[in-house]
Amino acid sequence: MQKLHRGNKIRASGSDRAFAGVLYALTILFVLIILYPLVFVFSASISNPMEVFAGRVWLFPRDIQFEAYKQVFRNNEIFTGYRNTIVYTCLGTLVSIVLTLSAAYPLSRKKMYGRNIIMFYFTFTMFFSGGLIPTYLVVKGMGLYNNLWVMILVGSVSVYNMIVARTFMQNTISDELYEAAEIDGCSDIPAFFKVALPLCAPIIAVLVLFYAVGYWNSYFNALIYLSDRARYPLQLFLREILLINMADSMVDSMEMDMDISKFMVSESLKYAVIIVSSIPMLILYPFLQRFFVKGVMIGAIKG
Amino acid sequence: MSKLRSLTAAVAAFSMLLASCAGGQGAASSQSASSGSQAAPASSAAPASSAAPAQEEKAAAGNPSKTGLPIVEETVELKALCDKDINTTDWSSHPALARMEEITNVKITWDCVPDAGFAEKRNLLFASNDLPDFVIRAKLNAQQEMKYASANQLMKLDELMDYAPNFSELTANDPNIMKNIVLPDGHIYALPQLNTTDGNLIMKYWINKAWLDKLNLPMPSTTEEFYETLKAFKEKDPNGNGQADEIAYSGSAKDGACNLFYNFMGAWGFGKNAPLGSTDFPYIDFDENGTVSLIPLDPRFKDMVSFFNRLWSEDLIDKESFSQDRNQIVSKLTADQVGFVSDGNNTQWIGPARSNFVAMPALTGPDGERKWINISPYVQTTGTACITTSNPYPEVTMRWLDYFYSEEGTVLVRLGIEGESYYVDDNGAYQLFDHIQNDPTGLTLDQALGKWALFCGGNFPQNIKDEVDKSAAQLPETKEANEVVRPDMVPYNQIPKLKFTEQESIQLGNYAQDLLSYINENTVKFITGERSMDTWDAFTQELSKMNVDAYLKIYQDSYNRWKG
Repeated sequence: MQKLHRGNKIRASGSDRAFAGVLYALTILFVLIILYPLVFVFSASISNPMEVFAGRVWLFPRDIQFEAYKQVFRNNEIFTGYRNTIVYTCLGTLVSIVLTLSAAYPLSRKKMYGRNIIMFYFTFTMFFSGGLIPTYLVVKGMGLYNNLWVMILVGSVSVYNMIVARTFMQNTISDELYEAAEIDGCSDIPAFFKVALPLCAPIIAVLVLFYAVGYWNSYFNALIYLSDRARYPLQLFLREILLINMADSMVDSMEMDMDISKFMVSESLKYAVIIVSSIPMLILYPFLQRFFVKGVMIGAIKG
Repeated sequence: MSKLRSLTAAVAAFSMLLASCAGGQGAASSQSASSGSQAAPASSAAPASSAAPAQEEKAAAGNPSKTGLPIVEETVELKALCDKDINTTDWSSHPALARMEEITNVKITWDCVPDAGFAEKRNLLFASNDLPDFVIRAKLNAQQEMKYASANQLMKLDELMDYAPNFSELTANDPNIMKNIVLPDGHIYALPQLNTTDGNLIMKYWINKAWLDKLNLPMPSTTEEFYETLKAFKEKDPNGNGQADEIAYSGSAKDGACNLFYNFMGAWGFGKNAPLGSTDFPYIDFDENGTVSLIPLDPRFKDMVSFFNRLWSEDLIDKESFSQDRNQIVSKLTADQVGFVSDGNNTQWIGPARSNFVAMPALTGPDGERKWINISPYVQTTGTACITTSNPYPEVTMRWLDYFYSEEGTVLVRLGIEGESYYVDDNGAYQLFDHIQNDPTGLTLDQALGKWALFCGGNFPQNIKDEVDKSAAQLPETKEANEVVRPDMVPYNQIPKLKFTEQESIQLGNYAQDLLSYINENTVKFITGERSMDTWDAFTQELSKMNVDAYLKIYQDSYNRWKG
């Protein structure tokens, strides 16, 4: 360690450069591992499906065609799904942020009475839950079945995110700041809005991203609690399309003169649907990423 | 899934207690929702002793007529769960079901769950006892039927047979139907899909006739000749591209090792008395006297496995056979690389290359055995529809379901609506419109027809006959292919659909999984040469230690019950 430090002051030593080289190599490797499926899915979505089957598409598209995208956008249900998912994501993220912050703030204040007990109560749910059937019965009993709010209220607070937010508040907002506010005549609730909230922008961005991605990708609640197709989120339609395959449609099929190319399109349809459904999240990410990195870092370093 | 299952087990008792009140309320509310002001008590059957003729019994809601339409005079409302195939339109706005409502006067609120999540949803509803009035395209296996029946969640349909005129007529004409749907307690809890079209029921071997002709080879008739043929396919470059890219035999056995060899078992004498089907194959066989035996302990099975091991080691079987799906085979078939496949009841799935393929007759094995065992019985699928005990109008529901067994009912299921999707031609035959067969927007036939009909994905209480079937099963080449195997076919009425008591199901759950995965894994290892055939005796010895007797006894009992 000593040696390393001395070397560092003047210029990178051999071992340092080797270390950096390994780091770069590993980073590039990880980037490739993450990037490859994205590129492949994109290429496969615009290639001739026969080429995909034959394994000739491995990086770049071959025999480019947009038949799959045409089919995706011909399906009106995709747009229904889009609309619903956007509603669930926006509304759900808003509700989640409000609930999470209003739990995180009091729990971050040291003068809060019974803080540890409440914290334990929250944490307990991270390890033990009632399970699917009791949850289903509760949802049903509360009249939330096949209701828009079931998508938003069930699981709207993630305890993990709440702890992240609480830790952030505890560590970045010092007691002295609250004391100063108190001396100026600010009580606890205004202190939240006027002192804590403005300082929490980074963690809010992180929470928005976590929750929005969660809502965007969620399908299980919809599968179990929704019965009206007009309320289905995008992911359910996506799941349906992903699970089409020829073997299944052979179970009882009227196909007399089956045009294989139509089935083949359904194969590249899968990839097209993946692209269509993940584009919004891919777009959202760069805008939030600035806060995202900062937010996680601040929470982490001072914690 | 396993999580779901264990949860189910853990809380079932508790949740049923809770939900039994909720269920009661549901029944009450749906009863009051029905427009009948003088609705009959929920569970009362129509008075059978009543002197009034059946037709006049239409008066009160929930008191259905025994024949004729509408089923009830005053509209009855029911709520039902269904599995929606991807190609079928949403059932809530489906024209065929709107037509049903019109003619039967039964209004149904559908909980229409996409196929992909149906099993989870259905299991959840039964586990939490939050039951719909009935379930259609229910996809219940015999074990689930038994389980829900013993939890008193399913109606005994045999007690409602008075309200199933069409189905009763079918069962009266063919006692084999009852045999295959009755559970060990002697009752019926779910309705089957019936099918009498050979083209749908007989699976076949498909061999590349163009390659045979090119190499001037005869149609193989024994397993040894078959081996020689595959070898020629592999070595003599029948596709003429100068490369050794031919795959003699390509298969898809990723869902079960037996899919690779099930169709060949008849050549070694297995399944000739009572074939059990390749899905979840139990490796069970019955001799002429109906005595059960475990196939892997039979020396003939060793002989068969070593035959496949020979094919594999000489590279005559597609090396991807245990991992690929059908779509991958299709791409190889389309590239003219495949000489033989053993899948499907017709050649449609083969795609553009299908004109090269013809049916191959059953093969004669080394001991002179020759039987074709891969066929479905007339009771094609069981567990397609059930009525729950929370249903306030079981008789009405039974009449409603029974309609689909009539010819016009099955036509509605399969061909949709007259004047929209089909017409009756001058000879009285049903014909699909051209705009359905060749959809101008590029939909497949199933997709186009799914807007009018309900058949997609099967699992529907219906009676498919040649007259109402418009699938590839009716193509002349399919019918021709049926004749190729027909002489060696096991008769339909010998194919059992075995049922187990609840106790037997639990025991099977304990023994079968270990036993079958041990057999499956090792069979694959022997075929692929990962395990040497010399160690076969060690394999069978190990196998004999695995509760084989108890396992066999369950099958023996079940088979004896079936045989009656």
